[in-house]
Amino acid sequence: MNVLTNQCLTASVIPAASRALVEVTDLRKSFAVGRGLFGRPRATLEAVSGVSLQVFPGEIVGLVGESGSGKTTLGRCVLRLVEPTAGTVRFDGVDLMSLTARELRAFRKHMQIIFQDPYDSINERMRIGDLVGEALTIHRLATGEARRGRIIELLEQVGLRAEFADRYPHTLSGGQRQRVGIARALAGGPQFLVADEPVSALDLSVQAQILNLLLDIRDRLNVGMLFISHDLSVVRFIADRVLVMYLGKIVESAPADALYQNAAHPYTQALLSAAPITGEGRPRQRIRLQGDLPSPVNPPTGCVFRTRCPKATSHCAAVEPPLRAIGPHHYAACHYPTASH
Amino acid sequence: MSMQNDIVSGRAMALTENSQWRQIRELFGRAPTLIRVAGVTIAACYLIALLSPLLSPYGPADQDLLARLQPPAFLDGTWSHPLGTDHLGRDVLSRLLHALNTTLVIATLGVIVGVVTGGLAGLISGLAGRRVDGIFMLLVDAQASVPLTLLALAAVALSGSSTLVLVLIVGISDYDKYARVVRSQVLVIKNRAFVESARALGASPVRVAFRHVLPSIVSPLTVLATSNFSSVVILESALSFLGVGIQPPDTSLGAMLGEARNYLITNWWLAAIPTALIVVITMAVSLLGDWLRDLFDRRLST
Repeated sequence: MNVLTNQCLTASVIPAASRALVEVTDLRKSFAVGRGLFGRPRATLEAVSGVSLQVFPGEIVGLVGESGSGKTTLGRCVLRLVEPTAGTVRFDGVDLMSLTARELRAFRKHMQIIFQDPYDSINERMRIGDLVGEALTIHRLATGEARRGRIIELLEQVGLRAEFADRYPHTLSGGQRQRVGIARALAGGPQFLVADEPVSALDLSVQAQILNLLLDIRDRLNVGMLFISHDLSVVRFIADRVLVMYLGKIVESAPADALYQNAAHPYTQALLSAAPITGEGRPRQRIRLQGDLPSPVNPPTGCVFRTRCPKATSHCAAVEPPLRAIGPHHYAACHYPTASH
Repeated sequence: MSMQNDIVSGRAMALTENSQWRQIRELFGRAPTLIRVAGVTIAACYLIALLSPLLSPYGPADQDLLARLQPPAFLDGTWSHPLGTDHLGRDVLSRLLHALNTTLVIATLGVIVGVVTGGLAGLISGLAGRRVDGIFMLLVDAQASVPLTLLALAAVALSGSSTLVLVLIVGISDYDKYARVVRSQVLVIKNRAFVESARALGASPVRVAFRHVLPSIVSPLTVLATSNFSSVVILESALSFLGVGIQPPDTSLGAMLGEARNYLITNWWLAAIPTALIVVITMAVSLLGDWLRDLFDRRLST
């Protein structure tokens, strides 16, 4: 199955000639749940179970899933902000797992994260200039006048005036704060960004501005981006390719247009049917999912989605469906995918 | 979000800024009269203690055995000894000023020792892994389970009594409180996204601890240090009273009280005068501490 997984995700929207910027193979992360008297874990929870994915330079990969699907943990693991339990992450050919703590810190300028809540992710006690310039200080990229100049350049890049540099964050709005967060992430000159629900804490009108800013940054700096969100319309707007995550596994992967027009996995179809229709979408039937996300401590046998799937059969309970090609660049982990294309 | 903006612009949130001290000064101007009196009293005590060699009419150890146990001026004494003299004919006012100096120096340095050791222990304990945390918390619990008087007597017996030893004893006596408070704050703050953001930028653990975590716990630490100050003053007085603190002819407020206990019936003012000063100082500092804590708590609850 492993072979199949790798093989099918290697083919991407981007021509095969260009090399993947980030290549994640069979990544797993489990957490100990509850500890007994002597610190032995009572149970383990696998938040990410065997995910493989690739992000190419200049590509925005959307990662969608409901709360508890493991998408945030996956984003953290790709950056090794959370230590994965197993699997590999190669960044531009460098095996992240083999780096020592010190090497990893130095390497962090190449890969950055944008956080969800701009009120929580910005240190209130630092000036905006120092927040934006922190990576310059840490990695000794610029000092004195050069540092000041670079900070102003970064602020302008995210649409903030230079005079913000001397202010404190409490004078800023949510959108402006998120811009500071983005400028802060860009300071080290990263090639890869993990955007963890970067607009879900913002007003709707501000969301669009921030999304456009991210697209603009992608175009100008050619960074690859893993865009994590639970909002399908946001992902549709920004992503080139979309991965759908359910209970720690990728259940469908497709170019954005293909996914939104021809979702093959029943879970994706249910997600899409729950999202409000915009524009001239054809009338759809609302698919209601029964029950909640199963506990990841005790995942279902076979297909992880079968407990809530309208199509589930006994075969689904026995055999886990591998992610396999069902169309050009389109993969689904389902025994009975909806035929498309 | 608008609510959040309101809070940000509100006075309650003003403390989060870096210009904290200016804000505190501003708030101090609006504080109740009692708090302002307390603040001025403390400032005056420090100033007087600082200037005590200039203000004292006599040397603190100068004896005048012919003028022993004179009453203060307000109890039919003479103005040559405004607060009277003690059993060796030493001028009580001069001794009081000197004692104030000693007590404040020991209490201030003691609090600093406590804040630094306790703060560092709490910071390391909160940020390091489970094992280090366990060891540090064991030390803190051990501290809490040893009677302080015993510790103080043992320390003085081993090293002799000196101001330095006293400062260390008084400081270490409180370190567990600081360690606990700092640790619990660190445990909250280290899960905030801005700390993860610093780690994501490649900040070293030391940078994360001192640049991002520590500044956020300065306010509660200040509050705790202020409210512990009065207990440190009393502790120093108690130790000196017991004779393990300041040794004669040097003196502190507690030592003066200790010397005066033989004359409680006949010359009660000898004990009453240093006691009054201890009460004034501890009251004033406690009031200030409570006021600071209320300010901080109000900020937390909004």
